[in-house]
Amino acid sequence: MKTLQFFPGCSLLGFNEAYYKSAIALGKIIGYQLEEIDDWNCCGATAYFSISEERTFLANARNLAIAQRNADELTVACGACYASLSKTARYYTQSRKLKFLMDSALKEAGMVYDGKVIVRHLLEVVFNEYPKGELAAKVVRPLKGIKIAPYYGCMIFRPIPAPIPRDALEQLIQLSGAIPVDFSAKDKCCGGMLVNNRPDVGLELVRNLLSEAQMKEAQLIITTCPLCQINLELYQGAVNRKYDTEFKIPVIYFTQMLGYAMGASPEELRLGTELISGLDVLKKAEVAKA
Amino acid sequence: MPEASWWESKELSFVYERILSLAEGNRIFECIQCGTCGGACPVSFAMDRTPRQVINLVRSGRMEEALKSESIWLCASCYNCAAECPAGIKITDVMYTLKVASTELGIHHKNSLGPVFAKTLVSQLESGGRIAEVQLILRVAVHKLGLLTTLNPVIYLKLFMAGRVKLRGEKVKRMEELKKMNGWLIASSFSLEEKDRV
Amino acid sequence: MKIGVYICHCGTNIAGVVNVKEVTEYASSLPNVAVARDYKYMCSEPGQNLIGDDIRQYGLDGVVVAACSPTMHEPTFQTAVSRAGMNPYMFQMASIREHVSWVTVDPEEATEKAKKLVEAAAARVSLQEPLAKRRIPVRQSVLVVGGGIAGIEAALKCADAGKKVYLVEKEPSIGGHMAMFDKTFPTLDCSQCILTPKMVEVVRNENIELLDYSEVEEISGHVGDFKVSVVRKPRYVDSTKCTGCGICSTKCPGKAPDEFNMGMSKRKAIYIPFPQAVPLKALIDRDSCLYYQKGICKVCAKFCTAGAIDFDQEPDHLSLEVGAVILATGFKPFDARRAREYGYGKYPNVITSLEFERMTSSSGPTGGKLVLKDGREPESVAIIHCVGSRNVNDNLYCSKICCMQSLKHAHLLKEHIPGVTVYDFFIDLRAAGKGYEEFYRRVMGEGTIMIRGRPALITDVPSAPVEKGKLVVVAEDTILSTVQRYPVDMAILSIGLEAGEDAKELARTFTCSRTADGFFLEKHPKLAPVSTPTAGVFIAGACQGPKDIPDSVAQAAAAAAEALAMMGKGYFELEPYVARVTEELCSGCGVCLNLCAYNALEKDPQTGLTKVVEALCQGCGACVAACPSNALDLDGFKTKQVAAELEGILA
Repeated sequence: MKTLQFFPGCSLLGFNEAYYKSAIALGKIIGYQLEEIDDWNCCGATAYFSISEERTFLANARNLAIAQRNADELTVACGACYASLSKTARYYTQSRKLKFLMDSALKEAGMVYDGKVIVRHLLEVVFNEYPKGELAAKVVRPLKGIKIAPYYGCMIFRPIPAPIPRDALEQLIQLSGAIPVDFSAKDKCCGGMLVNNRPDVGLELVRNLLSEAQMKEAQLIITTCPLCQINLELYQGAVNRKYDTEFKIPVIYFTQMLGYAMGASPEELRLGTELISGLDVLKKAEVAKA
Repeated sequence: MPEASWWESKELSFVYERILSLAEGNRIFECIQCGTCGGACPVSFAMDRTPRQVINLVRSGRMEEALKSESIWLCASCYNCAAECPAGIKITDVMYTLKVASTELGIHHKNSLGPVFAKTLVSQLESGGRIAEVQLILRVAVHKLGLLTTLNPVIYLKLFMAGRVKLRGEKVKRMEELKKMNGWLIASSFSLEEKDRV
Repeated sequence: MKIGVYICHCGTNIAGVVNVKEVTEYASSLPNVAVARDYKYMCSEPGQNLIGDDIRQYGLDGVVVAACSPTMHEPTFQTAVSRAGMNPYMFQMASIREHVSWVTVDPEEATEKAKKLVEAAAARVSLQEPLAKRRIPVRQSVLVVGGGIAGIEAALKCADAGKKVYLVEKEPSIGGHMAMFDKTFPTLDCSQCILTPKMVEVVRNENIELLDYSEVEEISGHVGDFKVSVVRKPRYVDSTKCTGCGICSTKCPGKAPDEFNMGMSKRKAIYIPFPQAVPLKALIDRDSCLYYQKGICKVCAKFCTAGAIDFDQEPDHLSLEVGAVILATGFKPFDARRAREYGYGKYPNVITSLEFERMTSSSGPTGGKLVLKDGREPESVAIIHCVGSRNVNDNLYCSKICCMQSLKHAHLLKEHIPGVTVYDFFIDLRAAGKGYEEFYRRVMGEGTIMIRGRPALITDVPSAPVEKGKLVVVAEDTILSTVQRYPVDMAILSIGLEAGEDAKELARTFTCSRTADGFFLEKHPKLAPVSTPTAGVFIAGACQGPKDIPDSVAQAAAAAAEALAMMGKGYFELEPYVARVTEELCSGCGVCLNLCAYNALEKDPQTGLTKVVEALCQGCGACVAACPSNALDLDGFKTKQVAAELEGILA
């Protein structure tokens, strides 16, 4: 049972608790437990970098300094948190100026960071730490016949690419017994906060993603980031109203898909809290099996 | 570093200095104006200046135009431009630097809600250490009530019923650590664009 | 001993930092120095005349020039003194530019250092002895590696001059990439038509021995006398019997992707590479041959009237002796799969420029028809420049030929398909050759839509009804500053040129360096583009850097001229820096024997003492340093000379 030092981020404690709970449930099955680091602060997402790059690095340096006390790895589940934290860790080693900034400010707060914490995305941990054979063996509810669109979002491949192949999610989908669809927009932006602040622009991005998913006959979209999940699911109605479309595609987390395939209960995975039922689609697999 | 005598404003030259002090910032001079960034950008269709044009404005010293373009606050920081750029320019980071200057100086396109959103998020972060999504959205919506109508009100209800709406969030206990860190930043008047004091 | 010392100002390069007057005065005070002068440009004619006049007037028998680096001008001054009647090895240069004025900030420090270096040089010259260059005879034969247009041209030139040429080509036919093209820019000459006569000439020429389907394994020796071992790979067909009739191919059941057609069609397991192949002989590909894979079939042998099939054929090993080597090994096309956003390999109608070339050829996979994979004619085509070039993520350099090739393709599309819409996406249009700009204007006049913008991606996901079933190219038209979606049926990626797959191996085999981009390193980028730092090894064509056919041909002739000049002279001169054994001191311990990287030391079977093979000795001095009895010394770098130099510096 691996213990993963975990940085949930604000969203996993708010709208998107389903991601947190399903990550925990998945861990019980495949062999990790999440240990939330003590007294972490918000990573600032993209907004903080727009106000002050220095202060964003400092806020994240605090998180890394806290993480360092217990382990040399920090796992995150949210794409934006992954980008902020991994950027901070990377720039610390690459820029003397930023290292000086972070070291000096941390010292003022009585804290220390030695630059050695590796920031990992949960998807990368699941994909790299467990042999595919082992994962496949744990599948008790193969999602036969379900077509799933793998949506990675931007941050997992850019700017600091997680060390996974570009078809990691597709492999996990196949492993779960389902069929990955060819989703060319798999790493294209969901619109981020633009969907809230500038829906005139943001909704178009959401529509493009949903449109391709529908075109490729995906019954379900899986994501690796809470903001992507919100944008793609919550705003489907808004997209339908604006563009006169009829999208109704559930959007769930990859942890929920894997967890369900591996036998976790829908309650544990918080399946049923989403607005467009992913559970209904997943259940169709069993029907096919019978 | 070239300095144009026909620059609009000497006051804005600090923005230029900041951009050049970014990691490999002087790569903007190697921009061959190929336009890949515009094609790669998911929101370029809505921009008044394509990303390539913003880079050109910056290196031509037309900083005010760059800051006033709607483009910089439409940037979603997806990094697709930087990933595809054949000259290896970190365009997204240039955009961030322009956004920072934009909020500092209060110069931005009238359609941009980004500054308000960012400031609201940061004020939450710097007071309590974490974001409460509901409060954030409501506070921003005060500036543009129309935003509340994007979603069908029923959705808010559904979210609440599903237990996803957390009205009160946890706060960071040792906020003084963060305050001290930011305090150092101000007291030392550290700035990224000054020459290495290290 | 009468030494003349000359301090060069080198304009202000030296004089701007070093107090040359002071150094000259110091020099005249040194032992054995008969005359010391300073002058603005020692390498110029008046400068050299100064030395010559002094040699004659003062009867100098040693000269020191304190100036730039010996790599710049040692040969210049050596020639100057020898013209004035002094042995060129009674000369020494002190580098007070690269080693002093260019690297020292403080003028006083610089002047002191310059004085020391001059003192060291003068002390050394006092102990130098006259030496003579060694002459090595040059064999009157050339090895040309690579049978593309450059290799063919080089081989023909050398053969026409009466020299024996071995042309080694690793593919079963010569012709290289040029054989794959249909029309060539800017004249639209048929590539095969201008190439095949030369290919045939290669075989007809008595002086050329064509070693097709062969590779160089090893090369040893030195300039003028290289020993090369070549392996002829087995065709499993006896070339002396095969008539090239092709019946074997028609009967063969085995299939494989046709390499010559870029995998767009299939060939048989026994095949002739292409109709104009030289030599026109068949060969068997074991991987797709049913006999080698399963032990059955042998239909080819049954039908071959010449009895040429030989399933047990072994590789043939040859040993050649040549005087010079010309590498003309060409390029490798950029792998378009690396341009992930363009969907090559995913979308069938995204093809590379080379694949399009094969399509335009009447003997190609589509019989010359320009069609989509489903056989329909395209209504609209996008051509994209700079794929794999001008990109920090792939290759930073420009591949030079793709702009012209793209324009040619635009022209061919317009010619073949009436009414077709052609979009040409470029960043900068490079049409610098003779007739190239004119061709560009002509192609524009034919109606190709030129768009200045590098596409970000190609997708098959439509966002509007007009895009259904199309490939959509997303690009910013940078002149109009709008980002647009262009629906097309076919996209042609103009891929760049890279160094050959085997460039690394070849570089190691032939002791050739490579530049950072992977192409072979020329001796001097401006003044010696076809020689290499390794004497006797020359390069020509795309293996030196991306270039078009006229430049390849020109370089090939240049390389041939270099090789012929060497062979014409009949000898090659080596520096006289050779190791010498003082027999009285040599104990025969043999420590030196294994140290020599050039196999230039031998144990004399009669005396048991070490003997130097002068022709192989490169004067590296390793043996001199190792000898425990100080029995070995190096002409021109004698221990006492080096010691004197050190004393001069440490004084």
